[in-house]
Amino acid sequence: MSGARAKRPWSRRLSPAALTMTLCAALALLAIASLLVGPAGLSTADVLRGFTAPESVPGIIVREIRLPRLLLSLSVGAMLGLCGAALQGLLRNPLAEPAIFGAPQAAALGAAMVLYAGLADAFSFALPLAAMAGAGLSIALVVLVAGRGAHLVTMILAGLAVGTLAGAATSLVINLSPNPFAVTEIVFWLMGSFEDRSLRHVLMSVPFIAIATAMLLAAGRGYRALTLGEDVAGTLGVNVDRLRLLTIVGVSIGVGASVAVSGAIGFVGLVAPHLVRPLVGSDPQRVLIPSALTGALLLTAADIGVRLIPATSEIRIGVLTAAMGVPLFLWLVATQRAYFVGGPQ
Amino acid sequence: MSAPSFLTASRLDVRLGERLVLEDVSASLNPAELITVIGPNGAGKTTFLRALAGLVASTGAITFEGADWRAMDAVARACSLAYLEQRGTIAWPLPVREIVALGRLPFGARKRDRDAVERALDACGLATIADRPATELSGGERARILLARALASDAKILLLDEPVASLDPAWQLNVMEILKAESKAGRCVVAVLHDLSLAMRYADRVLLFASGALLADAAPKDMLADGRIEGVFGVRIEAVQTNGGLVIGASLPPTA
Repeated sequence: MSGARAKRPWSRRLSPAALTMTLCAALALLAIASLLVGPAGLSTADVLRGFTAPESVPGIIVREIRLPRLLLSLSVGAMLGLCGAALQGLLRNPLAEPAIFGAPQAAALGAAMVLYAGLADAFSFALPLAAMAGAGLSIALVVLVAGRGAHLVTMILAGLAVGTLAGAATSLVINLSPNPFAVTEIVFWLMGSFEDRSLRHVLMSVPFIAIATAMLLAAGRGYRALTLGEDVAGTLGVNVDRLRLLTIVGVSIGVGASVAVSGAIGFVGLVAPHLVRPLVGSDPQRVLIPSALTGALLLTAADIGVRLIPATSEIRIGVLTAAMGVPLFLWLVATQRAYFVGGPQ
Repeated sequence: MSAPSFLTASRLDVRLGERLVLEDVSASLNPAELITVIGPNGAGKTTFLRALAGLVASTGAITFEGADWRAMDAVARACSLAYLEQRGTIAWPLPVREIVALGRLPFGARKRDRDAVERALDACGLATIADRPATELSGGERARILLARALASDAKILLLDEPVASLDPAWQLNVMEILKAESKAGRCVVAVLHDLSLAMRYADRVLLFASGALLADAAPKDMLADGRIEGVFGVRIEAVQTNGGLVIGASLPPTA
């Protein structure tokens, strides 16, 4: 028996602990790179001096511009990666991600309304709270329309409708906006970016991201049981209704808090779990933490990428993630059609 | 003195929407007993199992060792009952061993968990494919994986909905032998079967369902003698004792 045990497929792969450590090491390297890259052209010595002498010019650049940008790309990336893995676990489907619920679009609508009303500066939590409310409403609406335990196709159709409605409503907000500055602010923000973010944005989002992370990680065991379907999971002692609620609320808080500070960034939630499955296997619980780390890695790398791509104005990160994510999504649709027609067999 | 009650359902009703799909079902299930559940399609067999497993709302009383079964903690219930779903699915390409290990989710002792999983893998002939992704295997192999998942549990009650449905003849017999052995070891095994020969040959007791009601609850011999099966299924039944055991032949009645 022990001979058979030694041949476990994932023992030939990286163990979850080894993968986690490798990803953390890669993140540390990218984090350093992220602090070093930027139009100001600071040298490594300048950046180090920036930490020791906070009032110097490098100190201000590092503290006010590069550090918030790094912290946000790490936390938002991790959140999106985790949300994708959690939804895929809950729905037992590798094509699930927050966008199929229309959540980012609805979060963007909530945030755009706050920007339109000029409330973002008056009350700093208005933006994340409105975005979370938008995300929560869209997911609740999709679940309500599609019905409990609905097939993925029903969910996608309902999510498409809700997302389209939220997009149209956002256009209406832009349309009615009397102030061209507000229009520019909303439009640029919708494209997704970590440019010009401050530690205020970090404080605005990170507490919510931490709460959402705790909720979704707590649900991991339930996702593992759901491998055998809702009924069997129920007889294994999992409260499936509570698991569903925990996931929906967790994803709403996480997506809302992320979209509020970064704008709409797509496909990280879809891509991250797919990148880690070949390394740790398909156990939906074991995928969670590596997906979060991979999400952080992808978004931090993309944020370095947009600073390096030569352009007259900085390429928006949402544009870059979509350009990388859409081909992958199409490839997944083409290779995993079974999940659309009959659900997992 | 009557035996202490184990799992008892009394006056169980299940309503799905407007339709009463299970009506006034009372049955007591005992340890060390292999009970087969038979009946035509749509008779309420699956609903009966789902009601016992707490997967569908029911009215009437369900008690387990004298306590209210529905009021028990979900994990405590999961430790007492393992349920095999009819045509169960496996969503992710996990190795067979990890799927079987899901049966140990409500428990927690690692050494015991490992032993139980290996025993279940061996019993269901899965030891040689224990590291293959479960989703890449045949329907029959997947059915055995899901059965092994239920067997790996320490639960005293096994509720199995069509455990032999997609198995070849040898594995059908093997699985019935496994279930018999499990019941002899003290478990209460309840299995929905469509194969009347297997249902009659292996059972200690047979429950016959029709139109949502429990029509008969009897030992196989008495069940065959009273002729109700023929009426319920609308077929002619012929029971022959062979060297291999009891064989039930069913034929359609001659049309007028």
